[in-house]
Amino acid sequence: MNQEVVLIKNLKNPKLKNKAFKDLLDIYQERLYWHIRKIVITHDNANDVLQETFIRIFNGINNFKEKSSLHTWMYRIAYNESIRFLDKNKIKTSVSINQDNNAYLKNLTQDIFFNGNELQLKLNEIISELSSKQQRVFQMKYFDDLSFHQISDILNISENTLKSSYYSAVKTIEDKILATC
Amino acid sequence: MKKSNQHKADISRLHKDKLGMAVPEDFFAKSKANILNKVIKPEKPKQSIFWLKPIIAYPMAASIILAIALIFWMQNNNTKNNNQITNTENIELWNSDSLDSDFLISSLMISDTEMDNYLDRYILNKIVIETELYEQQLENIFINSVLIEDSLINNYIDKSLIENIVL
Repeated sequence: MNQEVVLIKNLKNPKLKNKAFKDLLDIYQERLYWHIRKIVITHDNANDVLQETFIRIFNGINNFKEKSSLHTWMYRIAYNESIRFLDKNKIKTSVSINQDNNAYLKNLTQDIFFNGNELQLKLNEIISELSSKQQRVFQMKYFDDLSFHQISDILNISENTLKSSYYSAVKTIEDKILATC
Repeated sequence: MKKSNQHKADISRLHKDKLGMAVPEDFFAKSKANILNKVIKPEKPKQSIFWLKPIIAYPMAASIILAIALIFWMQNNNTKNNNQITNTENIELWNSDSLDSDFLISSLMISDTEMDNYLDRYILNKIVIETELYEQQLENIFINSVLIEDSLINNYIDKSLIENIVL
């Protein structure tokens, strides 16, 4: 039997739920942390959102209808929690071309767990200048290694639109990196 | 699982190398413990009185109920026998043999008003009326004695007069 199917079955069994949840944390905690961190920028914020995400997963597992994979369902919860956190705290994560991107860079560089060099800081800056949709698609595809199908399930956007946004984002980033060098 | 650990190492390195993002040492272990503390509540040991087998539990429960009922019944019965003196009429009826410590304690329960009423009635009955009766008796004796003396004197006078004059 598939590992994910067994995990879901155990998570829904009250007697096995706690043990299964520990296994779930072992497998997905780090992946979800990095997914959240790229959206909320700082480590402290990512830590808060990660905890909320797993509490929601624990409490809501019985409502999981298995229409998507467990993996996709958890990423969707993490994504929604991150967006809710940003809205609640009015944190700016992207800037338009005409906007001053000081706020985003300030958030990033003030985090004591950001120790990037000039090139890494430049990549963060370029990503922040992408549209919100392009940012999410690029981050999920490039850093989280999710398929277009999974990203489509999480963001509720068609795969073709996602592909178009992703390739456009990659082109923009390449051009800007080359322009810097 | 090996593949999963490899992926974890890769994903952390990727974020550090490309974006310059790091995490505190042992962060994931501590975070896991925090999350588990928040969602998994320690199970309290179940405290049930039904851990005994029915063959023992039911007779035991019946015995306990019977004992409790017996205690209540005895208490009620005892209360009826130990009627407390709450009025002066009961004091009057009270046998002198019963004047023990219970009586003294019970007598403290009588209100001052009742005690005053009782004393008034006692004074009226025992002192005033009896005194009057006693005085009336004395008066009767005195009157009787006076009358007797008068008649005797009269008799004596008559008798002596007859003797002196007639004889």
